Amino acid sequence: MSRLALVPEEITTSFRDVLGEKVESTSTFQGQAAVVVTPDAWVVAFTHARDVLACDFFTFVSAIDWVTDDADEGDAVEEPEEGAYVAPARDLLQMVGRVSSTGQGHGVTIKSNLPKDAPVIDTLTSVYAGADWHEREVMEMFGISVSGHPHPEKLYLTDEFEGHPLLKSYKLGAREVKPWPGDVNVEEMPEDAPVLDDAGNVVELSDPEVSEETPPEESS
Amino acid sequence: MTTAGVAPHAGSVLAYDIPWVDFVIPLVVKMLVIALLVPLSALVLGYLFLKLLAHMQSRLGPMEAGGFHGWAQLIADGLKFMQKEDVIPEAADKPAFAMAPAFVLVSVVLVMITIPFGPSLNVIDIDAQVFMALAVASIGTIGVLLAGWSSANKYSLMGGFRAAGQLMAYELPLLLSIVAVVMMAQTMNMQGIISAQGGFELFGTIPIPYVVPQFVAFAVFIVAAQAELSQAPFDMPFAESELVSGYATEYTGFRYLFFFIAEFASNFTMAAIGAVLFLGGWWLPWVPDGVLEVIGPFVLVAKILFLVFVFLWMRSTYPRLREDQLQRFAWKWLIPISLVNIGITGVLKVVW
Amino acid sequence: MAGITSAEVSAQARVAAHMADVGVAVELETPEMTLNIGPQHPSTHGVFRLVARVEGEKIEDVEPVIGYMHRGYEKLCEVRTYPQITTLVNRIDWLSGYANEIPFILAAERLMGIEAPPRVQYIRTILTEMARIATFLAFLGVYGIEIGAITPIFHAFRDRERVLDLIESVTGGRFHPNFNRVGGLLDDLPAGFLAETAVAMDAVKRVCDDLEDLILGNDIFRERTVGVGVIPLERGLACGVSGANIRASGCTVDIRRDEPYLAYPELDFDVVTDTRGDCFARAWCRLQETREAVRIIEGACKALPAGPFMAKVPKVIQVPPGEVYQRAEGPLGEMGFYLVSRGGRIPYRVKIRTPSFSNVSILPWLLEGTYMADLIAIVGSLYFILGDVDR
Repeated sequence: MSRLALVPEEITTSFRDVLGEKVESTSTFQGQAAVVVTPDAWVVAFTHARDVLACDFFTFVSAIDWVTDDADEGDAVEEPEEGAYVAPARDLLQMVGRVSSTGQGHGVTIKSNLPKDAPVIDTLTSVYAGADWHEREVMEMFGISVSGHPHPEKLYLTDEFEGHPLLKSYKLGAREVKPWPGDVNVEEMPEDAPVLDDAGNVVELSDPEVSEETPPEESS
Repeated sequence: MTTAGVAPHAGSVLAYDIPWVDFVIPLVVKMLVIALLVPLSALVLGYLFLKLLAHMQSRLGPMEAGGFHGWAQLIADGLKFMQKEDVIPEAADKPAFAMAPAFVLVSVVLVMITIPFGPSLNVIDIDAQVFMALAVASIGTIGVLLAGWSSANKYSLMGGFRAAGQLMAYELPLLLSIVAVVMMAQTMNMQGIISAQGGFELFGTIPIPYVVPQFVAFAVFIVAAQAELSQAPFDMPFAESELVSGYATEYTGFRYLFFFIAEFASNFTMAAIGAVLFLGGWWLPWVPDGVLEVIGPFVLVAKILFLVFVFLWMRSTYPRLREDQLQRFAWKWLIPISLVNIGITGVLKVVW
Repeated sequence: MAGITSAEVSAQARVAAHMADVGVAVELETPEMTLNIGPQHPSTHGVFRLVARVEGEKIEDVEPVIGYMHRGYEKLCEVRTYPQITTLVNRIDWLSGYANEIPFILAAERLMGIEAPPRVQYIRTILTEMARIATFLAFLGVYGIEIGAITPIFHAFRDRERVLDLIESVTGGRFHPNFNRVGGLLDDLPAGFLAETAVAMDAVKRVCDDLEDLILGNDIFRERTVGVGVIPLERGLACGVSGANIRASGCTVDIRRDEPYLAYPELDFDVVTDTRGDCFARAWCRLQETREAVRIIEGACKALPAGPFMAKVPKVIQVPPGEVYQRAEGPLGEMGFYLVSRGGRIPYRVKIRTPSFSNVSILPWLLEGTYMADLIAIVGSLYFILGDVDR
């Protein structure tokens, strides 16, 4: 990291100072500053990143569809340690955007949690011109409506296409029709044979306690 | 040369003595030769083009068809084109669409008949021969415009318009560069120009063709000819990366073959005009006329092939100009240069 | 007629003449037409469509239509294990498949806390740069074709083939190597690789000189590209334009230097920048970056450490919960993966940030008011791969 790069903590503090209550949470997981802001502060947060934090390079805007299934919640019961990663504990659509500074080298991930029913977010096109296509993608892939977008048409999909493919509720047709062939490769491994990685090379196990208990999350 | 022996017998209109030996048979033979020469020159040049281009691009080019270095490649290509379906677009102006390739090809044939291949080997021998060559060469423009317009395709249309604008713009420097030669030879007859070059001697002893004294005109001629042939760097009418295939986009089968033949045959004729006007045609210094009768055609063809090589060399090297740059180049550079050249030629002509 | 001076009469005549002129001009006005460039057109690098409203040769506006190559990789990634995803990732930018794997593998390794052994870092660097050379040589050849020069492509592709052969000799695949594993590589370098690399790199250096003479040094090429399609730095950054496209506009960012990964911090290379921001500068930057890539490869081959080609990793790759954005300097620009894991063998969400997608999104703005022939020059100079745009 070069020159005058801000450390993640400085970035999150800056957001807290300016947006105050509107910052729902911050994180510096993996040395990357991430800020969750309320939807009404979405554009303000990006403007702040651009004008104050000198983040002139628009990286991307997308979304994550969080679905909390029961199996996962069981694991996440214990109190997370300081600085550890915490996934959202409820069902929501999360806008994710990232911008970075070409002059100083730091970057920030800005997020915003939207309800699953009628998710609406303001457009970033006035702040970053490049958000145009990214937001169109978010609209068609997640069904999030971006208010104020100059061309709210579909980008990839045909106009007749129904559904929002990147939602977890949108099942992948191929997986519905046929079971996952990849499953076989990883599951069927004799206990005492030389341990191979996926490519068939002999590797030693450094961490024997990692097991294969986790079921494949095909449809999740 | 050819004397039209159609003098009627006195008293009877019907009693024409058809001049078989003097006129009809030589004419038919000449026409057949020309009719064969056009596709033949296209074949040879097309093959040379493929091979030259390939070697310049560090490839081998055709190697299979016919055995020896793929010599039969273009024959095979021609047969392939003839077997293909002749598709005429639904929305096309059908008669015009069908006619356009013929216009282009006929123009090439007409230019071909003006070329003298030896001291006494020519189809026509008229005073305004150079003038005629240039005049009939521009018939092709009509075919190109027709093809672009009638195809009912936007790319074809743009290609046709580009071609029309370009061919008209470069007709002028081509003509002006030739005017300088005509001034030096004081004749527009091609045989006359050739013999004038044979008589033009540097320091009184070394006979030299006009390419040396008229090197400016020659350079303008080569550039303008390249533009007239729509070859890189002036290949906007085709502009593969922009207009797909320009005015020929919608053509298939033997109609496309017509364009293809015309492309290479016009390369041949243009190089022939250049060879006659600047390189002395069939003439070689210090070789007696009797020998030239025999080797004249081969000398001319050798000179033509040299010029064709120059054309193809340029074609394979340069990128394409933009339309406005092309026009600017013609009007701001080539035409003034050739005008100045004409002026200087005139002055020198008077002085000497 | 009393009271009308001759001056007034002549003024009226002037007006009338002017109106007549205007009338003619109105009648001769060419109606604008819509030109569909693509989805199948020689210059669209695949299936890409530009709907252009043109007036004669002038372009009023352009709307790019993408999505013909959309393969839904982000969705497909959600039902595959990490080792299986590299197969998909290979195919995003199909000209530099190897370089695509890097950010994904690095993201997975970062979340798992694995560091690949130094030899792996060096081999990855070498192969990434080879993919870069292959991509840029393809660009230099194809861009020549787009500008109208038909010869350079063969020279460029001839020596590109040597580089692809080298990639093949290591990975077994020319375009889709699928060679990276989390924590290492499938295999070590084959015998004789370093010697062959030296030969091939000499050839690449030679062809770079040739291409500089043949294309960039050509006056017509300069006429066609200098000052055409200028991307201002601010606009470019706001649109997310990256890679050589933005470095040609004066941006000095190169992720290889600014956010070091693989073996780049230990190797010597320059970041190529230009300030002109036009088509010529973009082509020039790519040519220079090809030369820098050769330098990197030669340096890496010299400094190649011995050691294992695989870190100690669990036999089943399971990535602990976390989110990370890992970016890398791909041949086309910033390639990044926003990887969300909730534990287990399958990622929860993979956002693929591809350079071409953002690079192309500046096109409508950039092409407004240009000429038809410039359109091709500009579209070609941005150098996008449709697989990379559509994912």
